[in-house]
Amino acid sequence: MRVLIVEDNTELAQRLKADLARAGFAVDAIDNGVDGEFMGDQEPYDAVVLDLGLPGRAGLEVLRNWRSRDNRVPVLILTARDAWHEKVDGFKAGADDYLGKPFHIEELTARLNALIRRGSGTPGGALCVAGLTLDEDHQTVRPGEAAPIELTGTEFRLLRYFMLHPGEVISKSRLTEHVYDYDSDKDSNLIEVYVNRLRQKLGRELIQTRRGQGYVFGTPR
Amino acid sequence: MRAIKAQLSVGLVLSLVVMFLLQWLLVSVSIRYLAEQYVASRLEHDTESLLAALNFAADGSAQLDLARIDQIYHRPFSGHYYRVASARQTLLSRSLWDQDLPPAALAPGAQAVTYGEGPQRQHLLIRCGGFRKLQHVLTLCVAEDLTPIDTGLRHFQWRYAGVSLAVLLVLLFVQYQVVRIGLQPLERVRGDLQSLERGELSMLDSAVPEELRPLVLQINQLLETLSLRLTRSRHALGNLAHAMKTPLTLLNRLADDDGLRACPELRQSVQAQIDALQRITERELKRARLAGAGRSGARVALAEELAALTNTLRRLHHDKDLLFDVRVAADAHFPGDREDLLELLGNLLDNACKWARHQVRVSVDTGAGLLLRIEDDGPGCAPQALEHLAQRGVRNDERIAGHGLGLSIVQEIVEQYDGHLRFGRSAALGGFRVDVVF
Repeated sequence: MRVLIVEDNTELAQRLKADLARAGFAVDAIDNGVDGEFMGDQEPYDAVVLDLGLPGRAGLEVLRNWRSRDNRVPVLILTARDAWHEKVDGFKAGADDYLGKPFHIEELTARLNALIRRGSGTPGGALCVAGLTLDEDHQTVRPGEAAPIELTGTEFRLLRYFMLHPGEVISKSRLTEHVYDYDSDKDSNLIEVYVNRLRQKLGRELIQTRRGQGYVFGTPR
Repeated sequence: MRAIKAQLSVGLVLSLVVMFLLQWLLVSVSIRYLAEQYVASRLEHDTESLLAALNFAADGSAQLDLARIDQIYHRPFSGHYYRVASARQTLLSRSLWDQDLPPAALAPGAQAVTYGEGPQRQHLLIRCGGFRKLQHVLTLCVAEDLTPIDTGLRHFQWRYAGVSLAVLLVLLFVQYQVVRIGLQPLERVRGDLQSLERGELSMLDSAVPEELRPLVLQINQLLETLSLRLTRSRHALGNLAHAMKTPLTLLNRLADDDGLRACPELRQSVQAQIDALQRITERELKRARLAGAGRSGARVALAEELAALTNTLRRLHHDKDLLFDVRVAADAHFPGDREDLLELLGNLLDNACKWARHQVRVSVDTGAGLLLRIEDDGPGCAPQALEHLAQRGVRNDERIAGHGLGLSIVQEIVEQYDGHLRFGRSAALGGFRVDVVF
């Protein structure tokens, strides 16, 4: 899951980036509104954490600009401005969730997960697809009632993306975009490596290869 | 307002009454003076013809040639009388009919005009003069009854007073109308000010008479300054909140750091201080942010804001499948600040959403004043707990997240708008019920 953080306090942004990466997100951090808006339009993020008081361009304006260009990326506003009229205005501008500072990182990750889940039309609770149950807190997966299987960071991100889009044909480049952050070395061959590792851990038939198109997770629709 | 009208009216009435009285007096005195002057000059002529008709007999007794005297002096009580007195005798006009005029003896050349009473209590003007004719010293008095003139004058005075009174009344009516029409712009400005207070206007209409313009412009400028100052201070507070909360977030994060986890006691006291700081910031900022009823010109459409607010709450409480039942007339308005209204309703509705199982109901009644009722289908609240509810900072149930500030802030907003809160159990939904009455 790729997440964009637009936050002008660099120390907070770095902490958030580290925390969210630990929670299994590929994170890009931007410290101003103008670049934030550009990145939000350019990269296929699964969610954006947006501060309101940004240098360059105010957060609400960035959000309105995205929505006016029909950019529907799920946006969580993370701000000190948490009066009710500000929340109402935030949602009016097109936000999907709102979290006031100060906050706990657990709440932010929970809300981000729920936001991404809602974006892909998956109901809340533990992610449960094709007989697999994903534990997002511990980054493990349980096939049926069997013992949980440990996953590495990249494996976890890849599997979660597959589980959020079951039955869809997903290209390698799409997987790359959602599993790695902007600064990572995006070698699409690495995706093949990680898909094979997941197959080894969970069974070959779970992820099928469509030649020239990509992969399909679970049973085809 | 009233005072100006009364002051103008009293001033006008007094000056008009004084003017009419003076005029009446002046006219009366002048007419009387002219009439008496006229009578006196006629008496002088009559004296001269009397003197001419006067002869002396050989024995020195005075005789009047009656044929040369006006007939009026021979008719009894005609109102015209004479009296000729010498040292030896007194000649009286026949009109006196055996009565006498007040006796007078003047030296030759002397004259006197007096008033006196004549026959039949007539009011006489008597002109006497001393003469010397053929070595005889005489005093001639000629009198004329003033009663007809008095009567005529009195009639004139009554008529004059009557006409003056009528004119005075007409003038007063005209003045009253002039004052009323003249003060109408003031009435309009007063009406505007009331609309301003109710929040139907944000500025006064500056199309007023020249005299009122500076006042209206001053008030408008004051309003603008106030609203600007409010905006600025809110802005400053928002910035302060922003500036304080980001470091607080970081501190929070640091308190969670693995390094601090190693010494739990230190971590606990750091965390406690951060929490205290957080609570204080939150409370003071929210309180300072309240605008209160003092800000005039604001008027919020309730239906529109409630729709936006319930949409916000639906998203914030997306984990619950809540049904919002909003009952509000399309034209219902809140006479105050939008931010205050949203803070008030936001806190109350957020509370309802936290407790509700499936349904939250908002109803707005604009019948008498403004009633906002918020109900949920949650567990409600025990009667003894209701009393403690609105107390500042009281957290009625710590299981539900929140700073416990929501209700105290609601209380403060309601107080600033001279309203009050009522808590109870919802008859329709069975859960908690809050009424906000303005």
